[in-house]
Amino acid sequence: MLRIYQNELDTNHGCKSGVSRRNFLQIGGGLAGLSLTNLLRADSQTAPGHKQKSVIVFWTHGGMSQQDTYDMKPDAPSEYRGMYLPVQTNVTGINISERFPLQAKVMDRISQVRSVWHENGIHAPSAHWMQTGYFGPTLARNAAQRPSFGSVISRALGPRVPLMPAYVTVPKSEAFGYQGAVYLGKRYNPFEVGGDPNADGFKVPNLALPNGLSLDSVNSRRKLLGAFDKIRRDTDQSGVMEGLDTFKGQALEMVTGEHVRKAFDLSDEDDSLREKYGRHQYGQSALLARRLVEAGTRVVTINTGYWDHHNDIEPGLEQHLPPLDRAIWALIEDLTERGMLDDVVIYCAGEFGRTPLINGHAGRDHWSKCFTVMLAGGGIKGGRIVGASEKWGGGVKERPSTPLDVMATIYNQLGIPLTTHYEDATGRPVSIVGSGRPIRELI
Amino acid sequence: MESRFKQLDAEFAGNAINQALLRQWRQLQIQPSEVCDDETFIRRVSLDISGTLPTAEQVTAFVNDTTSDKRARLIDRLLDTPEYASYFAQKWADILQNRGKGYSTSKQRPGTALFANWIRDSLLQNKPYDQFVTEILTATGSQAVNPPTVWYRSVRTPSNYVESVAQAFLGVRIQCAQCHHHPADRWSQADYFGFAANFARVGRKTGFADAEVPTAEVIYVKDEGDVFHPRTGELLKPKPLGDDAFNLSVFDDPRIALSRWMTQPDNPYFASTMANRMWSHFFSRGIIHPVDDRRSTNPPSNPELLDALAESFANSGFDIKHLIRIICNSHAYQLDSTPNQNNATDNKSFARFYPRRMAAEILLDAISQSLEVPTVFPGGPGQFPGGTRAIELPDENVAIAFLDVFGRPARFKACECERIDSPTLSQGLELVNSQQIQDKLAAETGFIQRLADNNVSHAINVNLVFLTLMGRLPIDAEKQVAIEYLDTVEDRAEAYRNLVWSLLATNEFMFIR
Repeated sequence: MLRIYQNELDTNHGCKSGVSRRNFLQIGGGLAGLSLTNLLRADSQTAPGHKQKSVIVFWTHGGMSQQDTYDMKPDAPSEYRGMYLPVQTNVTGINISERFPLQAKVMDRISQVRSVWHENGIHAPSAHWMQTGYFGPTLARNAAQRPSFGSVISRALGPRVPLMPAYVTVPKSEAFGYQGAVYLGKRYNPFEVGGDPNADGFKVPNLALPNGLSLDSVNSRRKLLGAFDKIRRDTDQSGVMEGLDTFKGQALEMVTGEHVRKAFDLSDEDDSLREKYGRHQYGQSALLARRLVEAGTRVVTINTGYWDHHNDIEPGLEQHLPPLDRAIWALIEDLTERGMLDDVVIYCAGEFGRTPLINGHAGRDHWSKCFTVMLAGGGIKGGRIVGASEKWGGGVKERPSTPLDVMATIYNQLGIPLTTHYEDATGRPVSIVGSGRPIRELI
Repeated sequence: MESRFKQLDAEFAGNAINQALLRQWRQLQIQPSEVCDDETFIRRVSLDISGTLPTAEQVTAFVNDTTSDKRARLIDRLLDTPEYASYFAQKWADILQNRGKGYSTSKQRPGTALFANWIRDSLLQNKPYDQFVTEILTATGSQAVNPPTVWYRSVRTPSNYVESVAQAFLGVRIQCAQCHHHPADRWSQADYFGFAANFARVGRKTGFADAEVPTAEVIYVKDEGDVFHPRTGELLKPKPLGDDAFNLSVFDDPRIALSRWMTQPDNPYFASTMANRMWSHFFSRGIIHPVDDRRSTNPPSNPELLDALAESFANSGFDIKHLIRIICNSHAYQLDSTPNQNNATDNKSFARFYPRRMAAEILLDAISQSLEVPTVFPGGPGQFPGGTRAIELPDENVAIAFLDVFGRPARFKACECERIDSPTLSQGLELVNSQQIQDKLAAETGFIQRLADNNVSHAINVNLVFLTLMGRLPIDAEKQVAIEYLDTVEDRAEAYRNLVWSLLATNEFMFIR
């Protein structure tokens, strides 16, 4: 934990005195002593090798069709093949959908795992499976049973820069509630942005001041709090006081401070870059995600779009594929230009794929027996295809990969020891990867 | 140190609880902290017994009281307040899973309100604990008429019965034994399913089935109901934990036999679990910790202390107020939280008071009370009557973000561990930029407006602000900072809003210490 050392702080009143003349204060305990420069310095001092890496997730809630995107079946009969043609990418031998023309240009930096599978075909338990690595409740309103990979990363690494929220969801967490921390503890839940980054005058509702409260007032309050919040911290060994200090300081910094507010401020970006990402929720969310990881957030999950195309899949995909393609491409290009691509894992997945056979409503249904996830950046090898589906789609043909394998790969790239265990509510240690193993072809 | 122990030894003569504490301190050579001052004590004990901040007047009167038994009398007074019953009723409603969520209609509210009020009335009349538990476990009849049957609404399956009863009343987590022998204790699958057999004849009739969980059912005793060992297939007779099976005829409700077994004064779990639970309520830590995880591999930190409490509780006829009285009058509860040279890291010998953050409901109520602006609770339909306090809400299904952010439990488990006090970023944000708190600070009437309008010097007002929020007068440095700030701001209401907020957000305000 980050601590600020303070001498001779008179924190003793109320009860009779003990002896301490020294106090170690958590950030915010002495809010007066809080400065971003110190925090940044402290972070860089404690950061070993992988500590700088972050993750950006495109979560295709509802389930994206693998056969219309990454894993095309051009030789299959038309009821399997779908409406799109494959295009050649910049990697010889790899073809993807004509609706992904921009990703095709950077395929050397993108890899696909075409053989991910699990055993459920219902949204809620499948979302739980892909977010946590395990089968989950069959009713969406039932509570999650396991922590999401985002929360695991948040717990294992924390934010890269202490004042930033470690784990952010844009615009909100997915509807089933399976992107949370569960037994890891509420503090590892995601911070929800709460608004659409593509909206005019986008501001973060959860950082906005309530009606009737001015920034000046908050600054006065903050100063006064620094003067009064001086109860001796060594009276509490439970960590709660220390934690509250951290989060009070973080909340004040988020609301009033430059660093966090700037990170969320898209108007700071050049118009040309904003256009490059695309003026839609996908694009501006991706740009926001880049700003956040740059400023020190560890995990950003973009929950944009609903991909549950049971009926009329073509108009549905027409709406979602181009902006997603642009967002991923622009992000890869932008990170490359900034020299950050090796520090940011990009991951695109949903709860499952969609049926290889087009149904009677010109749609595709839920399919978890074999689908594709995309991984890029963060030191993951690009231009690779891992595993394969059967001839016309369907089952896994070679090299099956589980959701836990994918998570293990991400954890591995972030430098989280795969032997890490966290205790569940009953005190039983639970491995973060279980049976999962990193996909060695990608690392 | 020994001279201090000798002096305490003499003081504690005849008090088994204090003697048990002292024996451990002496054995471990842990010097207890000093006795805390009166300001600290009245705030602590008022929040712990009645879930309510003491008012400025109460603090002043208590500090100025020169009688020697004033702490004991304060404890007695607090136990007679209706807030005591409300606060502990909420605690029990958590443990008994009086849950409002999970229904597709609003038909649950009459049931949860009925049960909540029944719990509260039981505490108000100080119903003996054995009777309280027996009435719940053996309840029959309509959930619209007999409130304790509402317990059977959230607790529905054999594993619910076993786990809820074992955890809530016997302090045992027997879950593991559902599938295999408990790895760290004596419990086998035969114990688990034999215990389940006590509830095998619980029957349910009628009820609205339009919700996820049927409401307004009738609970009755069926003529038959068997439980078999999942592996051997053997028929298992109803059986208490760790004892021989009951010898029952078909005319006996096994639940009655179970309740009788539990509530015998010499039952090894019943009184001890409640004593431990109550101790943990006041000390943030059970003598067995967690309170519902009694097993051979998790022994009590001070067995004599636990035995002394349990014995006194059982001998009193399971008088809950008696139990609270002996805990709050114990020497440990008088101690300051400030550590000395050799008890700073102590966290299980009770050689000092361990501060803890106010529970969500108490914190919200404390803010409402200090600012003299009650919270409006949505009641679906309508809202709860004006002035309703968070500790009076019948169930958890009342949409107030503040309460969820600060860890209100969802009532899915009979485990107090479901109430989470771990700090989060959302809590920080809730303090800094919540509309809820800002609205209370900016209300047209209330504490702030009174301070703004009262034409009294800042010096006097600052004293009142500190007494109201912190339960103490400011020290000179604080007073100086406050007055200097107030002097610089033209808008008096704005000035007091900011001053008061900055105190509400301190750990000193948010903690019971």
